[in-house]
Amino acid sequence: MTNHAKEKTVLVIPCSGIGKVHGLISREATYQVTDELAPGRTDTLCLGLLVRRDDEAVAAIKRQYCITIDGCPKACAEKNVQMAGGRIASSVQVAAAFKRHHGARPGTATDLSKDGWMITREVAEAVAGEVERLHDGKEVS
Amino acid sequence: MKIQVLGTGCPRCKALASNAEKAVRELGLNAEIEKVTGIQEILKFEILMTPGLVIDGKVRAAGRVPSPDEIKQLLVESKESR
Amino acid sequence: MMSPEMTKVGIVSCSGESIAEGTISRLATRRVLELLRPDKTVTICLPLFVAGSEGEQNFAKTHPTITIDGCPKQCARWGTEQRSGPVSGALIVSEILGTAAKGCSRSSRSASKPDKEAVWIVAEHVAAEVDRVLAEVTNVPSEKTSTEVECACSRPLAGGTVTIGRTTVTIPGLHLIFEQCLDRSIPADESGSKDLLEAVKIYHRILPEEETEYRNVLLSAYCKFRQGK
Repeated sequence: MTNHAKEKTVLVIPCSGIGKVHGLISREATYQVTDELAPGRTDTLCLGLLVRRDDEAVAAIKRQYCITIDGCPKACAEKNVQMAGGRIASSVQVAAAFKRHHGARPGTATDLSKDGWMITREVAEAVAGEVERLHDGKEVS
Repeated sequence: MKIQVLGTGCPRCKALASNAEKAVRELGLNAEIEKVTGIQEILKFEILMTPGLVIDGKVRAAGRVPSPDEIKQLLVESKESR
Repeated sequence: MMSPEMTKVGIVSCSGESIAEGTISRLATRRVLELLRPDKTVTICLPLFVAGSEGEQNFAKTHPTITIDGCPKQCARWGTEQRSGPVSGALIVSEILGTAAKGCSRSSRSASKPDKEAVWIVAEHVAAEVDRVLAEVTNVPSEKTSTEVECACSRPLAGGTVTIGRTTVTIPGLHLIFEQCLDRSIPADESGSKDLLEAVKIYHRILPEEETEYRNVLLSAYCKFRQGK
């Protein structure tokens, strides 16, 4: 990818919360977006690098649009990107997807079940939709 | 007969090795007991968790410490299935 | 000096999203928490630790803490030491695995044999580090030969339950055993029931007179497991 194309990519940053299945869903949804649904238009970035204020990572989130995916209302991805001065275009919460699937058994923080993968796909498609909107609106500068 | 005890050298692995030695002694078997401590070697046996007990190349117990009596039973079964 | 019964080791994983080693750090941490040292470890998400309240930031002050990082940037170690103070141990997945991490994937959906082996290896290292830290803080020698001392092998795997007769039986690591059977293409029908029984017998003692009943019950549980996949 050229540097110019790289700069147009949207950064999808999950919380990857280790304690709950929601964190795993945020992580896997990110990979579905970057690897399947919007490859070439999206990339991800280690949240840990923002935690330690890595120069390259901080420069990237200021330069490119970011979409954060959080497992729960603690919104660690959104908060950490904001604290590091990132440009957040959209914040998605996995918990919202669960409201549409009462009774679903998504699996564990280690292993997703069929239900869990279904919710992951839904979240990924919602994020991919946001990426599309950003590109169509020519807001990715 | 070859017995292998899989584990990185912690107290439970030692307990399993000790139980295996006792079982072999009580049965009067001519058996070699090898302790496999290297993680890469242990991986080859595809056990979910250490310690592991392998008799003549076959995993017979893992993730627990069988008693000498149970190990004797496993040794007899192994001998009979040869 | 902390008492052995009360001490838990905190584990902070980087869970770095960009590289496979980050995924491995996360999964290895989960394996230690769930299977290898369930009563001796706790964890906290790195981003929560940094962005959270004082209570969360005091985590490493109230627990001896080890960090697991995917790469030498050591974000988890940096974050923990910034917010809470020095760590008791710091592991780096890329240094543990070396080139073995190259064949691994970031997503658990496409987890292959190299991925599972990598997680296994790193988890064993983490568990050994937990033992070392616990031995230091509680002054219990890690070489003690008593079988009562907690160690790498001592925890039963997190169990699944089946009903044998009228008794509920917990079988250690049943979910993982079923995963392994699935990987080995053991069919969920009568033809696979013997192999299924033999797989479970490795981790859970089954007496000869119980085998028939276990075989039926396990087959039923395995079928349900496969349906959920």
